[in-house]
Amino acid sequence: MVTGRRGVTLALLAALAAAPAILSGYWTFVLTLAVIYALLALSLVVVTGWSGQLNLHVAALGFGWGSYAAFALVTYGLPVTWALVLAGLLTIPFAAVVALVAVRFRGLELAIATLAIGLIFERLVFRNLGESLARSAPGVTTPFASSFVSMPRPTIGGAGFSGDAPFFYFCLVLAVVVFALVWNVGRRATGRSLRALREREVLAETLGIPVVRYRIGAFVGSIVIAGVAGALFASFKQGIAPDSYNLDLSFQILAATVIGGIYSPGGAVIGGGLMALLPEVVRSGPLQIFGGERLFLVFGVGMILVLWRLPAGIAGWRGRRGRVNGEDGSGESIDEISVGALTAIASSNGNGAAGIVRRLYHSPTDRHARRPLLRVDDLRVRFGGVVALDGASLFVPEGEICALIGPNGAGKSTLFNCVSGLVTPDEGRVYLQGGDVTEVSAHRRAAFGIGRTFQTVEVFRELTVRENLIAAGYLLRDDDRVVAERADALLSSLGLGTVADQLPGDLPLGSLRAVQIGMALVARPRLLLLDEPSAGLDDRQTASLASLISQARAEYGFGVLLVEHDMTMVASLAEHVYVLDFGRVIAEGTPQDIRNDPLVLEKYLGADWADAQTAPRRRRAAR
Amino acid sequence: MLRVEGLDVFYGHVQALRDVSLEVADGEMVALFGANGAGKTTSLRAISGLVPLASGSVEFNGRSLAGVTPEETARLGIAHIPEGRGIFPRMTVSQNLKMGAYVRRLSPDALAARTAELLEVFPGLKDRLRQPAGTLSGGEQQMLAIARALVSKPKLLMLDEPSHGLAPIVVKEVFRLMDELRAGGMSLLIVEQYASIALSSVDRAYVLDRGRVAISGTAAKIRKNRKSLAGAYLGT
Amino acid sequence: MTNFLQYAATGLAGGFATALLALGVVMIYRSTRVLSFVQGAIASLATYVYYQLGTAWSWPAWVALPLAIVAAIAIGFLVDLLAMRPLRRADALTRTVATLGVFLVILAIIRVVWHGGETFVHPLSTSIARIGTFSLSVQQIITGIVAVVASVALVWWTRRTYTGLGLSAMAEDPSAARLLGVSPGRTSSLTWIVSAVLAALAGILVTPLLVLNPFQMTLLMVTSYAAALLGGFISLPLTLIGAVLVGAGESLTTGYVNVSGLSETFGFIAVFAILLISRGRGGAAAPSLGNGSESW
Repeated sequence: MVTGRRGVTLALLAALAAAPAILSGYWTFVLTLAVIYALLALSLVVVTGWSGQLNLHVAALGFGWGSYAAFALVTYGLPVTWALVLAGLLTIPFAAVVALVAVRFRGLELAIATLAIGLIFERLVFRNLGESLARSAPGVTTPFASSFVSMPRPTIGGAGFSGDAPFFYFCLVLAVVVFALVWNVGRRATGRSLRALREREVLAETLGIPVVRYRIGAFVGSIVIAGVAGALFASFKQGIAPDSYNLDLSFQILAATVIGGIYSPGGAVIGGGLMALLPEVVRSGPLQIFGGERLFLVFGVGMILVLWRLPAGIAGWRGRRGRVNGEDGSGESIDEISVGALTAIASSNGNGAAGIVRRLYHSPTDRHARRPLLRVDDLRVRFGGVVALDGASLFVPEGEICALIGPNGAGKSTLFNCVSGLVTPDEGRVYLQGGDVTEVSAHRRAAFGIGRTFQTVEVFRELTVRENLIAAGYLLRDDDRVVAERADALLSSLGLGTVADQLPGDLPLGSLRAVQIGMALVARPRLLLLDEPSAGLDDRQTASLASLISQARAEYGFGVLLVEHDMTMVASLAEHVYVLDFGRVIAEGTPQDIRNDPLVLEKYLGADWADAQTAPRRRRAAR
Repeated sequence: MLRVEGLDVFYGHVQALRDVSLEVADGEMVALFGANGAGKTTSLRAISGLVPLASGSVEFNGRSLAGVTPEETARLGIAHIPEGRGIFPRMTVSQNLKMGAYVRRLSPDALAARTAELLEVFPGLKDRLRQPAGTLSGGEQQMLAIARALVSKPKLLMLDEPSHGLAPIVVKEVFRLMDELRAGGMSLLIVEQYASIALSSVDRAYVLDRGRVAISGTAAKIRKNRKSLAGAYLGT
Repeated sequence: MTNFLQYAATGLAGGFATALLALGVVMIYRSTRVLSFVQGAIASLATYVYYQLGTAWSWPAWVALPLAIVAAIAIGFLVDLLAMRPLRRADALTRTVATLGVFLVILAIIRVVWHGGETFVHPLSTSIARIGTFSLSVQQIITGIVAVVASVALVWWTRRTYTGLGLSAMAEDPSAARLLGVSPGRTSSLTWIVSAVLAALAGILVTPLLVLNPFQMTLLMVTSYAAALLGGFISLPLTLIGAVLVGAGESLTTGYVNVSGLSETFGFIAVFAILLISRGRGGAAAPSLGNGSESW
């Protein structure tokens, strides 16, 4: 696969390098345009394909800026060659301002915002700018419209790139450099993090990835790429006409990129090629019926077909063919987790490792004497008129597995989200290892040593299991090799070694839960938050997952706060249990205590079920 | 009336129901109990066609409901009040009630007559007809949801946690109402998390545990079998 | 003061046309969570049909207008059938991007059939109504009347009839609506048809006051997003009011501020400003790529 891709890339480069010698000047001219459009498509890959932001008017926001930036640099006396190379950088301040605004919007709001800002530039700024430049620019001729300014081709050492073939090579070299940079970023941690946050923003945040910074970075980066393309375009056309940067071009390049494949640089190459070459191909010959404006019929229909059947476009055709509809494996039954070395523990009576630890400190006094890991003090959260937490407090010492149970709507998830930083409480504090983290944002809290899993299957579907764990290693800040070693170690201790190179879509649920736990553990958390890990698992799978967790705890020494409704799992795993109801802790104790607590029975089953049994240690929440 | 056999349902990778079979006879009130995530809501959603069946069959009055969409299910006389009641908060109470007649397309007169009948049963809604439904209290919203379901005179009424978020006195009122409906010949299938509230009303019950039917039988039998019921909720 | 009123009143016609587009955008968004980028193009295509019949072939308006509306119904139905239905399992953002594909298709049709040239459409009436120094073209008055009648009818329809209520129910809670018998497929198809008719009315009424070219109505559509945002992408009456305000604002800006291109871009500036103010209050924020939860 990799060698195949490398082969295609090299062959394409060789063909392009040889093209001017073989083809006529006209086709060289067309290929130059293809190279420029490929760069423009690449900017869409970065902003939309990778970071999930829709820039609907890239012709104005980026492409046009680049043209005018290059013009400005030339006007201020820079050699044209340097102006074209540096024009992209000059767009950064504009891009940064727009990105800072854009980051406030999501999804369709962002699409509308880019459309509106782009049109303001296209229709207002560029036109007026073009006109005033055309009037005032010294030594610039205005052969066509009143707002047209001319722009020379680059020259180096007198020889010059002004001919079609030399200019083609100039564009090609610049494009190859930009593509190589982007490709390189894409395969490293930055690219992984970007794709991670596009696919699963909340998950990315809890893995410590600074989502906002990345989103701004991707936006600015894409504008710079489009800017380089725009600068080349101005020089290619030997001038700037504001009307070239219109919405039509933006929609067409977006369609071409979607068809080519919006998730990869390869798709940008295909998209740029389609955009420039197709009109020429259908100009005459058998395909002439698609010539002229009819071509855009083909683009439109092609785009809808790709969205329907081939979301990753032509570039993703080979990789995606087998699972086009994405509803993979919905009918298959769930196997057992591959527990590997842990089978022995799994087959024990479910009282295994956890049972031994429990005897060490079974009373609350013992717990509170231990070093504190997590302390939650008197949390209160209201959503609108609903009180989700009403003075909930709990304590988890270092290395303990502590469970939080309670009926639907008792506030478990809210408490959990307060600890992981997705919800800020109205009142109350959260302390981690004695430090107050109440106001700390979710991604920074991950850096403080909190890892979490979700009830739903939160994994990156486009990455293999191993890559998922590596992507989760954002916080380690080690080089890739160290992160990979850590990931491999976790994979083998979680019994996932044999499936490391598979995509998550092919795995049974039990293994996916283990993958999620692995991802949460990569960054060496002190506290692991598990949100209903047994959801959807049967008894056997639940038991093996429980033993997996306690084994991993023994190996890595983290503490666990577990939200769970499955009491079998709680009983086999937890050393201490808190019962939450109506946003308050109504009881706490060992799992055994809790199961015999009349108050808990009453809460779960109703009033007439409570009878006087052995009274456990319990406390009622203070008013 | 309703017969479900060997039902398997998946959400992606998660198997939510495993070989679930249950029955509701004419004029019977049946409850589904179970802890969070036991598959109660999924059972109702599978019956009304909101989630596809992986295998198994659902029959309503002798007709197979396999592959039938929720809209068609509604037409066949099954009313399903979903989790969270599914009222339309921006619509007025009377518009919500009118939506109840969507499949029957009652004429304005017939709708007015039917609404008047229902307001006799739900006097609390009388003064609220022009109010957006979102401004009603939780109990009133539940009443509205039930009233809306009754507009089209369904043969089977399915309620998902009718007691959720309601004060005990309102819950009692809801169950009294359901007793009346059954007395009027309607079949009911209700989902409840708290067994004790419903056990005094229902004829029979099924207890789900992790997607399987763990216990089933008459209300009296389940009452006696409290240990295993506790087991289904709190582990054994 | 007279100037002020004159400017404001002139802007109202544009505002009412914007309103018709905006109502369509909101109808589609409410029921299907898709943001249509194609309302402007649909309006243009229907207007070109009207132009062909009424202006090029000089058929009387009472023949040309109904036929153009029939064309709009067909366009709306086909857009739903050929672009939205196949993608019904895809998320809303994917379907939204697909409307860009439809946009390209419709634009290509216009350019192939009518060669994309700029042209003028005969107005329904060329008379001018005068009250003192204050004057309005009858076309503007008709535009206003039609927009108001259409909006009122639409509001009445979505509140009083079973079918219309079903559309509103789908907008509020799709699964509850389905459980009451509302079919999502029919809803989507009906919504696209109604919106296409609204768009066609907008194009046919407003282009005689402007020019007819393939892009004109799309620019107006972007302006209409300002109104849709003001209505929170759900309220039809607020959308109407928002569009009228934006139209009047645009006309006043043209009258009092002399910057080239500003009147044309006023709507876009309004969109951006409203977005900044309204952010985080629901509306179009709902669908987004990678919102961090698996939909099972």
